[in-house]
Amino acid sequence: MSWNSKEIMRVLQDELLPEVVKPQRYIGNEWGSVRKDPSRCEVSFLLAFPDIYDIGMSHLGFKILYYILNQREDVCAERTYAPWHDMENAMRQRGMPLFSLESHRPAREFDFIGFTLQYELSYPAILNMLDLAGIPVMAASRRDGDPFIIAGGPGAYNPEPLWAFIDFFVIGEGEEVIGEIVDLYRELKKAGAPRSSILGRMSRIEGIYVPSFYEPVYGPGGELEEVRPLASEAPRVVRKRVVKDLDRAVFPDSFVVPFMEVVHDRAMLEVFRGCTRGCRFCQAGMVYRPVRERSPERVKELASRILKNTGYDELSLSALSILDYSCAAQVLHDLVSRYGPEGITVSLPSLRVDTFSVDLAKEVEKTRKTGLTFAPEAGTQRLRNVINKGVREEDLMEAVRAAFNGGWDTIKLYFMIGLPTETTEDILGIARLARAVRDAGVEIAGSKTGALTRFPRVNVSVASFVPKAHTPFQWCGQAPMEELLEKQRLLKESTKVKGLTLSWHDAGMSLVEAAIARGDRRVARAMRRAWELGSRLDSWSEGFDLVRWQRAFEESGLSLESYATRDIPLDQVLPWDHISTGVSKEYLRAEFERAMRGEVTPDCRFERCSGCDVCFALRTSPKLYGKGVR
Amino acid sequence: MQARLMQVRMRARLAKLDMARFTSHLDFMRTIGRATRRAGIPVALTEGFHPHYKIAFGPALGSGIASIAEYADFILNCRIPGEEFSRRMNCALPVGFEVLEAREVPLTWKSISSVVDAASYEMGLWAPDEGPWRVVEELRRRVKAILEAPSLTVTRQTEKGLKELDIRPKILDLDVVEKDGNDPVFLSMIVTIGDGGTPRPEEVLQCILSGRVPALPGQVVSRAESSDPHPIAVGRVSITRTGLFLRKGRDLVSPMEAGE
Ligand code: SF4
Repeated sequence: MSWNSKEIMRVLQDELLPEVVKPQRYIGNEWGSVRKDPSRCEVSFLLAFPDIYDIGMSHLGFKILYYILNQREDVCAERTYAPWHDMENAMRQRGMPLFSLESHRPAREFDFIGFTLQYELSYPAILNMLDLAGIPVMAASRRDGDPFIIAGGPGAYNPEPLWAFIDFFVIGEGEEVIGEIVDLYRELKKAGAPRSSILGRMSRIEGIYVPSFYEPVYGPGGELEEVRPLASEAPRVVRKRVVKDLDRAVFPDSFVVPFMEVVHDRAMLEVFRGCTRGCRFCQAGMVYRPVRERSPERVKELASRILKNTGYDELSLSALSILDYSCAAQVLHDLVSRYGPEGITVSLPSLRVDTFSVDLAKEVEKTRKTGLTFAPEAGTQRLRNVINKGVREEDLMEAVRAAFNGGWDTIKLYFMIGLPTETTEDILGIARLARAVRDAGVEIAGSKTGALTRFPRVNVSVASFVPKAHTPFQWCGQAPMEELLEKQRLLKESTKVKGLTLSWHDAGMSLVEAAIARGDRRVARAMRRAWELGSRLDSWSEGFDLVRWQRAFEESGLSLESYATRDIPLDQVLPWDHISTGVSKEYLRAEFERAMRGEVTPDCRFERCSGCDVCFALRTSPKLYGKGVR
Repeated sequence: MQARLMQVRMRARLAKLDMARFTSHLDFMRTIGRATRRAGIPVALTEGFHPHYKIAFGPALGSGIASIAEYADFILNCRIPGEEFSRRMNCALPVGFEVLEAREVPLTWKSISSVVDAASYEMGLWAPDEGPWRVVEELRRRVKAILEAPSLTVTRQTEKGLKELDIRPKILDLDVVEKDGNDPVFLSMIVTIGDGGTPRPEEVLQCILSGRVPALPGQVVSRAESSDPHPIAVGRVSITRTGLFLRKGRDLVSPMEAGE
C-alpha cells in the first residue's frame, strides 16, 4: 500500500486508535498546532522527538523551533514522537510508516527530520523511528530524495556515537542557524543540487557538523589520535552557535497545548539561559554559557501573551537555576499579584539552598504547598567543594527549617553518588544530612507553634554520577556498577527511619548513559546492534535491558564498562575535541585540577571572570538586568 | 471577592468529533477549561485555597465515541448572550470541538450529571471492502429479537474478574435507520444511564453483529444454530452520542429545556 495522509488518517481512526493506550498521543489537532498546505511550502521540516509524546511535548527547544519555522511562509514545520510499544507493533503489522501529527503524512516526505538529543538512552529511538519511517538508518545509504536527518541539543556536543546515522548536527543554540539552514537548502533545492553538494555547503555554515566529512585516526593501541576533516570546506573545529541577546531573540508567545496530561503540562517561559555556578559534573552549566537574561519587562510581556494564547492556568518560569535570575524577586512578585486572583499559579521547578529562595517560594506558593526541592548533591563539605557546589550545611539547614516553618511538609533532596574522590564517609554524610533535615522537620512538627500539620516527609533522590563531555569531570570514569550498588545498599541501611524515603536511578541505565556520553565513533556500531537486538524506548525502565547493551557492545568488539568507567588521561585526544562549546579545554583541565585540590571557583556573575574563555571565543558576554551585573 | 457579584449559569451543548473523539473525558474538561480562558469568558472561580473555575460537566463519554451531546455548565460573573458565548468559545476551541448551542439557565437547576438519566446513540455501519452488502433485513430481525426478549446478558471485565450483567431493562429503544442507500446503515439506540449497569453502545452492537441475540419467542432454534450464530461482517463502525435526556414520564426532555 502506498501511504498518504488520507490513508493514514483512515487506518488510524478505524483500526489503530481504538486499540492502543492513550490514542491522544497520535491524533494531533491540538490547540496551537499549525496546519499548512504542504504543497504551498517550499521547505518542510519535521521536528522529531526520540521519546513518546508525553515526554516530548514538554520540551521547550522544540516549541521555540516550531514557532520560528512556522512563522515563515515558505516553511511548514510539523512534529512527530516515538510511538509507544503497542502503537509501534500495530503500525508495523499494517506496514504504516511513521507520520507527522499535523498533516498525518509519512515522515519520509519531509525535506528535513530534526531530532533533539536530550538523553543518551533515547538514541536507539532515533534509529527505530527512521526505520519505521522507511528511511535508511545509515546516513551513507541515503540518496537524493531522502530527507536530511539532522540532530541538535545538548547530546550533539558529543555527536560521535551517532555519527553514522545523522547527516549533519547543529551544535549550539538553534534559533538563528535554523533559518540559515532552511535558506541555503531552499536555494540549492531550486537549483537541483545533489545531496553531497548540499552537505558540502551546509558544512560551511557556522555550527554545522557533517560527520561524514571527518575521519578518526586511531593509534596502535586503539586510542584516538585525531578526528580530521576530509573535505576542504569542513572546519577543523566546529564551534557552537549562541544567541547573543536573549531579549531580542524570538520566543514563542503561543504553543501547542496538548489534550492529554503530559509531563510539565503548563505554560513555559524561559527567563534566562546559561548558568555559571560552575558545578563540575554539570554539562548544561558548561555548554550553555554565558548567562544571558531576559529583561523583566520582556518576561512579563511574554507571560501575559503566553497565558492568553494558551489558556493554561499554570506558568512555569524556566532556567537552569531559576532563582539565580537577577530580577527573580521582583518578577515573581509582579506575576503572582497579577495572575493569582485569576486562579493562575506560578511554579518554580527547584530552589536554591538558601532562605531567600524559601521566602520567594512562600510568595509564590501562598496556598498550595506541594513540596520543595533542594539539591545539595553531596554529603560532605569536602566533596561539595570538589564538585564546586557552593552549599554549606548551615545554609541547607536554615533553608529547610524555614520551609518546615513555612508549612511545607514535604522536602525533596537531590544527591549524587559515585562522584570523583568520593569515600564511604561522603556516603554516610548523605545519610547524616538527610536525617538531620528529617529531624528538623520532626522537631518543628512537634512544637506547638509550628505550621506543620502532618508528619514531615523527606524524599531523597539519589542519582549516579555520569561523566559528560565538555565538563571538568569528562576525564573521570564512572564508578563501577558493583561499587554504585554497594553504595546504594550502604545508604539504604543508614537511612532507615520514619519519614525518610530513598529513590534511585537505575545503576545499569547510568552505566549505559555514561558509555554513550563519552563514546567515540565505534560506539555507533554498538548503538546499531542494540537497536537490532530490540532497543526502542530505553529511557523507560520497562524498555531497558542492560544485558542487551552489554551484548551489543561485545558483539561490536567493545567494552561497555570500559567506555563508562575508565579514567581518561588528561593529555589524551577526546572524541569531541573537534566540537567547541567556547569553553576552553585548558579551563576544564584547570577546573579538574582545582577539584582534585578541593578548591572552589566562584560564579563569574557575582565575582570576577574565572576565565572559561567562552565570552572571548564567541564574542559575547554575560547579560544581567538586576543587581549583580559586574 | 467576586462571589458576591451577580452570577449566571450558562449551559452549553458541545460536540466532540473526528480525531477529537479519541480524547478522554478528562482531556475534554481540560480543553474546555482552557478554551474559556483563551476566549476571555468571565467564568467564576471557586473560593478557597486553590481556586478553580466553576465549570461542571455531564456524564463521561467513552474514548473513541463521537458526540454532539456533551453538556457543560459555566458559572459566569456577568451575563453574556448565549450566541456570544458560543461564538467566542468556538474561536478558542481546537479542531473537533464545538459549542453547538448555549443558553442561560436558572442557577437553581440541578447539575447536569444528577438530572440526566437517558442517552441516545447512533451507530454507523459501513460495508466491508469486498462485495455487496445486504444486511438491513437481518439487522432488523436481530433488533426485534432484542426488543422482544426479557433479558440480554453481557459479560464485563471488572476489577473482581468477569461479571455477567443483564442490560435489556435499560434499553429503551433500538432501531435500524436506513439513510439513502445502504452504506452506511445506522442503528439508533436509547438507553437509561446513571444507576450503574448502563449498556455501552459497543456492547449492544457486539451482540447484534455477532448474532448473540436472544431467539425470538416462538422461534425454534436448533442447538447448532444458537451456538454458532452467523456474524455480520462490517468494514468500519462509528458511534456517536446524539443526545442526553431527562425522562419526564414517557417523554425525553433535553437538558437545555429542564433541570430539575
Ligand atoms: S568567560 Fe568569564 S565571564 Fe564569560 S562566562 Fe566564562 S567565566 Fe563567565
